[in-house]
Amino acid sequence: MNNTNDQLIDLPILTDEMIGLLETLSNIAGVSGNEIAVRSIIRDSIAGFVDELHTDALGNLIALKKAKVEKPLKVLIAAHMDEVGFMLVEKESDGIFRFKVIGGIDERALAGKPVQVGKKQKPGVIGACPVHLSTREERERILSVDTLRIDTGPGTSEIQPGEYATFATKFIRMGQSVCGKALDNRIGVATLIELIKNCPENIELIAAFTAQEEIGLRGATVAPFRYDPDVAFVIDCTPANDQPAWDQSENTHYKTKLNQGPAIYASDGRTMYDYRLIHFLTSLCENYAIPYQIRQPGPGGTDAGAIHLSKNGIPTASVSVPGRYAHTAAMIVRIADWEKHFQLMTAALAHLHADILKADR
Amino acid sequence: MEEKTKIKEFLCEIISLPGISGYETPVTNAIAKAWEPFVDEVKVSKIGNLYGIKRGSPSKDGKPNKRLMLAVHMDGIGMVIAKISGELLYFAPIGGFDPRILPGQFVNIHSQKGDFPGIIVQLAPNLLSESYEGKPVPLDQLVIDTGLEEKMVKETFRVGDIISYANLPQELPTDCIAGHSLDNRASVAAVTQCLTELQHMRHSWDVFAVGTTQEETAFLGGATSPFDILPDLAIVIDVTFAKGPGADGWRTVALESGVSIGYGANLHPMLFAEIKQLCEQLDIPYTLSPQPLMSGTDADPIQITGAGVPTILLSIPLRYMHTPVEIISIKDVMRTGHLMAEFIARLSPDFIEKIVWEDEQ
Repeated sequence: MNNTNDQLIDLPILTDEMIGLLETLSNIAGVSGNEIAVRSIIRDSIAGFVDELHTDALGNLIALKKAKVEKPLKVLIAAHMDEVGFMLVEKESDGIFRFKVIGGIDERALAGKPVQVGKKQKPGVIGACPVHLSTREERERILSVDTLRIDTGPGTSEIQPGEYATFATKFIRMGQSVCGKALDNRIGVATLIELIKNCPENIELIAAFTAQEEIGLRGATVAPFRYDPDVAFVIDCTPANDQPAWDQSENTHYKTKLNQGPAIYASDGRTMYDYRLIHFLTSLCENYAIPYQIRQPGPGGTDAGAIHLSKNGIPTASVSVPGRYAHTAAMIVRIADWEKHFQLMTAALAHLHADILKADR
Repeated sequence: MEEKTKIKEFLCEIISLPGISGYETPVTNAIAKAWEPFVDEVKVSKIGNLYGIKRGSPSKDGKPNKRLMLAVHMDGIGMVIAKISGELLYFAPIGGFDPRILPGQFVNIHSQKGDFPGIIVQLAPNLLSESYEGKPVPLDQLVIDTGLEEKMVKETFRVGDIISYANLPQELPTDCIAGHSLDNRASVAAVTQCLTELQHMRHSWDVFAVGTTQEETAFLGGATSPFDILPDLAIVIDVTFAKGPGADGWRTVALESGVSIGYGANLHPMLFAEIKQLCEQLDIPYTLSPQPLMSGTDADPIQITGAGVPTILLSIPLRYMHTPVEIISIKDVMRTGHLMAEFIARLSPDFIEKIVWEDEQ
């Protein structure tokens, strides 16, 4: 570390304003391929803080905040703004639509849920056969998406196939946690908005709010090409399957745990992460006494899977907020984990310098 | 305000209150408040049945008025904490439902410390007794996550605490409502509409509007309230299966198709004929609801109370019964209420004597 970078900074706290922003972001709809509503909130939040702002061909919103020094380090931070959801694909009868799932939603968590359809978030439901009319044998099979329908009520002629839909979950606080339908990854979006506002002057920040992560990292595949980042950080959410097992046996496959701070990736299904950056991040956590965890290596991944392969290669790190029940109607995240994640990313920008990447790889 | 709007608002109010079988008090109080202006007396029985008593005009011959009972069950299905394991709550059902609708459902847990939100979730496959890949996770392995940490969970919840659905009513176009507990609060609204209309009508019978308890578990209210009231005639109002995704066939009727009139051993055939004729006369849309055996409503116990009670069953079509996204049409609620008021206004003091079995005519 050089001298200016050695000084520990004051870490920010998570404000009610940020939680309020997360609430707004989680409640609006932004299914992969239809991120417009999310993008426009982000644009309004950051327009006054950046030097350039573009929406590209896939719908990525990419902001550039220039440094106030010569030849600055160019840092890409990516957070996907899309969420899993549904598309109505066929009108079967008055107000009743066949639909398909967009992104990885477990079919077993669909039936009996309120949903909201289209730009105006019109109410609808995913119904299910009354228990009185089904047989025990039928109830042993899953209610697959092919047998379920979205019902918007009779007389909804303005709703047509092609509309997107999401669960109708409203964001709530639950004690030490927050709960919402799209915390994955509006938490990352809210964090990146704050990081832009407070970015150190020696960094050129490329903030990419990516589209279509949930359907194959498609936004992140093209996002790095507009500018020329030296290094990239991906901020996202990752599963915490840390609950006790049915038989009380030791839970060895938890991926991450709640209350253990940000999850730093060593490897996942798509990426072997740059160990220079892993070391940089873990050292920061130790210097600042920020709790952290290494996400258990295994399947899954983030936008890093596309970004680290971009152009002639980009050294990349992923730091996620652990959370439960992503890709369902209700994800739960501990507020403390989000705050520690936000603090680590703030510290990372404050201490990042080109020398880190001069070490061997 | 238009009567329909008033009833819609009342219905949305009472489906936003918990009223699980055996724990009906919150909803009982709201219904009592709504009935109070329309009746001479409101009472609650020793097991929780609600009686709204509207006296008829005094008879000319000094004989006591005949008694009509309008029975609607007020309770709804729910759950109860069965086991607490770390941060997680395991639960048992109250009433019958298909566990496949549960994962992702928002609930309220009514603890001695107050009401707390939670979500029903299925854990990761490695935490279950078997992976249940491609199969529904059984009810006894689904859990509730409250977002609270273990210590607080231990301090807050007890085995036996009651759990109700938390999703709020959704207003659909053309006067439809989606929500939980529309079975049977929609019928409560119909009785309320009947009492409203009776304000402007003369009637010679005493009308006992009865909100019964624990229909979903043991027919407690239906079995006991006739002993308090000693009715000469009973109308049971409940919901019936509306056609929709997953529900077709002879046990279903169309949503918005008006009152469904029960027919079969559980109901009095001559009264069935009277009601049908009145629908024709008043141009109220109706369907027939064949009940080859028991109707599975409060009519089952009421009919066999004491020396036997001639019983009518009126049903409101409802989609997705015993899910939290049931749908009804307010039009059907209004029609059912209107039909009952018109029927009551036409009841002569000797109506029952005039009801003669076909073979005795």
